[in-house]
Amino acid sequence: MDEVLYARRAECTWRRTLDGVLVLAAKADAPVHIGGSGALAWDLLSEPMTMTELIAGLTDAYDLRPEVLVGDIARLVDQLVQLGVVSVTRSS
Amino acid sequence: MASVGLHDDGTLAAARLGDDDFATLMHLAESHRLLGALAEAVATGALTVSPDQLGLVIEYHNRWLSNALLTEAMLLLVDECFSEHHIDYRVLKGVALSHVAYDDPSWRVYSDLDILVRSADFVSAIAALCQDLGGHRLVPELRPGFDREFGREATIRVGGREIDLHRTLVDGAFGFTLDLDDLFAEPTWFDVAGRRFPALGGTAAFLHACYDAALGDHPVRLSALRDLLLLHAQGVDFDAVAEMAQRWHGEAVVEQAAHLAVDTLALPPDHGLQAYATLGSTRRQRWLLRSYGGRPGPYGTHLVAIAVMRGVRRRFRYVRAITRPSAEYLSSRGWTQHGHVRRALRQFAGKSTRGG
Repeated sequence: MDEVLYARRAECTWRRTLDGVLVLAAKADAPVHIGGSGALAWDLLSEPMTMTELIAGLTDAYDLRPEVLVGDIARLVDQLVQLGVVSVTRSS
Repeated sequence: MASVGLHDDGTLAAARLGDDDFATLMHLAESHRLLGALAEAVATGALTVSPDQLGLVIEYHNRWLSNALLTEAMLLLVDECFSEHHIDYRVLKGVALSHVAYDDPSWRVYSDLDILVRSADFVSAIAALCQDLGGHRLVPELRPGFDREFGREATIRVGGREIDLHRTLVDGAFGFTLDLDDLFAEPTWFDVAGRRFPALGGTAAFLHACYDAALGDHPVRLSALRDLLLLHAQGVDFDAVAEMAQRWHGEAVVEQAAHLAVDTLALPPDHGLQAYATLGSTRRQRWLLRSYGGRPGPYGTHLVAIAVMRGVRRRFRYVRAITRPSAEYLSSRGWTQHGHVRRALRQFAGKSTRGG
């Protein structure tokens, strides 16, 4: 079965801040700020992973049940993909 | 703040600062390019802050980091441009140091991109940045041919950002006596956006930090001293530094940088930088050192450089350029030839040139 993998785009530049991360997509005019649990998601996405793995990593870190985070994380990852800072690939 | 976490107990302030004192600290941190160190102190608990103070640190730090990211994006463009034109280069100062000297590049902020190219490539590098990236030079060459033979740097503005393109590290005598080939020896590589970029090699980077601290801003900018401390903490070969400093006729510069660091940051007697305060500089070097900063002003720094220049014709070209800049150069600065000479004379007489 095909798996959808998410990962940071290597061509982005980024910095850790006191309240999250700032990420600049290639050719973008300004960086985007990712705060809260999104900053940890950014850390985890240094390696390609499925949405399930990402949610598992975050629920471990925050000691929450997956269903509490799933909607927020899916929306965040969608936004990061739209902004061009996270890539989506399919792996069989 | 410039040395927090490097030789002390890691505490910046024993108690939370009042808002007035904190505002002063923020102002100093920004003017000395130490907002990264301030943020690091907050992150590590070396400085306790109120919620409002934390908000201020985050706001200022994030603004500077946004600038850092956009400056790095400019580095990617410059790299593509110089690769296309086969121009060898090294990344200097903040952009390079944030990656090679700091544990986390977030702890070093900077305002522009500094790039070193070889003397032979200096003019073509300016042309490449202007043609390929739509840049323009802020101040024209002093006189035709000056840059390639004598110039320190040219500032190129590209899309609202500035690139300081260097031929050598400093103005004046010590910019002429250093061995430029040493700067292009084996680089230290760092990664940005999945690509590799060349910074100065370890010994040259340490010497550059010394030159920046001793001969750069007057009074010294504290970020220059923190850079020096961090490069030293990474481990530098004392003998290699002493040997390269001797080849550059720059022992007095290294000694001055070490004194500045020791005195300004109150380093303990057993700190390793103390050893660099006595490299055996000559009296002549110490005399040249006095042409930098403070009273002599930039004209004094330039004129004293004649002392280290070989060849009568070369000296003549240099003096003519300084005393009789091109009309284009004067016009770009809103000066006249008469005003230029008067300004230089006033500086030598020790009077302020502000507004002149």
